[in-house]
Amino acid sequence: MHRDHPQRRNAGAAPTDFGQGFTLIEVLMAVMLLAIVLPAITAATGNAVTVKSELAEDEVSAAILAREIHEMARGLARQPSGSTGARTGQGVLALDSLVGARFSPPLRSDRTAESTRSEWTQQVDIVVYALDDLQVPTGESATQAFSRHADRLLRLNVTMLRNGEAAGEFGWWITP
Amino acid sequence: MRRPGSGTPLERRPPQAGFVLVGFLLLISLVTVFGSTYLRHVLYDMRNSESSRHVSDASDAVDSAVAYAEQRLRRGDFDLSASIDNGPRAALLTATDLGDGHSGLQIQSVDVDGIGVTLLAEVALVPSVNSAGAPDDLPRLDAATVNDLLNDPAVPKLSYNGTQTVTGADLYGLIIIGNSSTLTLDDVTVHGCIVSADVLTAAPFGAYDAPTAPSLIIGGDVRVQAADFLPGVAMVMPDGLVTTSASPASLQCEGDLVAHDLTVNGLGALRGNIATAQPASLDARVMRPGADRGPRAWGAGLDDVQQWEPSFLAFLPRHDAVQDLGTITGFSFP
Repeated sequence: MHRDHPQRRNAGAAPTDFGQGFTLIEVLMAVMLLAIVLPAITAATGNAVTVKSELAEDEVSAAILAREIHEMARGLARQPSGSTGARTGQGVLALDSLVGARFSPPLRSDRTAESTRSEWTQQVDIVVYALDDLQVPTGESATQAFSRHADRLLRLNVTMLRNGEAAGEFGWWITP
Repeated sequence: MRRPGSGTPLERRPPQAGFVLVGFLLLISLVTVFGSTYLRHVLYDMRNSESSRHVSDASDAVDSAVAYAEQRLRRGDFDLSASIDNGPRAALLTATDLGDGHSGLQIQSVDVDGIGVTLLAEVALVPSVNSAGAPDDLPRLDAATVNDLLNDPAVPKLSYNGTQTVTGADLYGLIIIGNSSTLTLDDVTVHGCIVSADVLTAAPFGAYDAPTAPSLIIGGDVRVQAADFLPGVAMVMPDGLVTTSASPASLQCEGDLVAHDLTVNGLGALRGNIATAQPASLDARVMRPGADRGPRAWGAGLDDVQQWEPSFLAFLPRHDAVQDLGTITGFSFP
């Protein structure tokens, strides 16, 4: 004599009869599936958010470090120093020292090195424009612009590199 | 096995089935709420970082526009209305004439969502002269003033000819620099006026001749304070050259300054009118403090030629008007 067990009764039946509700096995399987899928989804989303916020942090760090150069440039002497392409804070004698300059570790505006961010590099360049035409560079050197400073405007370009890879480009107009 | 006497057999469901369905629906609801809340948080976070970047870009654009405005003002160009492109953002400059030698300047970089930066500034203007290059077009001491000075025994006359250097001294009187002469001052305070020798004659200067022009070199910290015998006048060298040496130098000038060429690379403050044959070359760090809200008068004994140039750029605090507060507090974030 067979006992009329519900699980056995439904075994082999095609679709579940919703009128009778879900069986415990079905619910357990659904919960198990959710238990596997949900953490995966959450982890994936969390990773995406983490990556996004790391990228945002990189953007912020790059902007802050680039602004240190801008702040430094505003206070530098506008006279020929005879030294371009500075590599350290000590090499920054005047504004033209920033032409082709590259700082790693990056510099703060007071010309001291930011050694805790050694993965960053500040790559600096200065381009000369006529005050009446800010579209086409004049091709002059920064030193030449100093002698014609009333008619010129300088474009300070700072490219930020993180571990050698470009992480942002920033630019400001500054006075010669 | 059926009980005896029971009628039609009933379809029996497992007693837990209904509750399991309810539980499952509750679980789905919980997951949906959790997921949507988390997604909303992520979206807000992304929007917030985008807004921060927009504000940062706007701030950079405004900084660039200030540099542009400074250059235009330095050149004597007061029609400042322009749009300055600074990469991802642009800044709009709008200038308005406030009268009394003052101009208002608004520098704004705001996007369509109202996110950005606005800077208000006021520019004070002082009279200045740039002649076409001829020393005789510049102001000079009039004949009566020269006569009074030369005949006043209380005014010492210190003449410097050839190449001379004065270091660490206080000089009082009329400092006279001869033709073809160069005087270098280093850590010197002058109580009086520095003039070129030809200023004390009635003869015209003629064309500017650089090799024979009297030269004053600021070799260190120098302060020139106009004295009572020639109030408001610090230097009169229409045929001469005033410049700073390569070493760091600072010039503080309390009085009007007339020179054919004026170059100040370094620090300093020029509290007086300036008249030059060539546009003066002043370091951005040289201050030109204004004199009240009206035009500054020229020193006694000098021709009074009125032209304007900027002397001071002041940034004004921005106060939100009461009528704006409702809009600000009621702003609905998209």
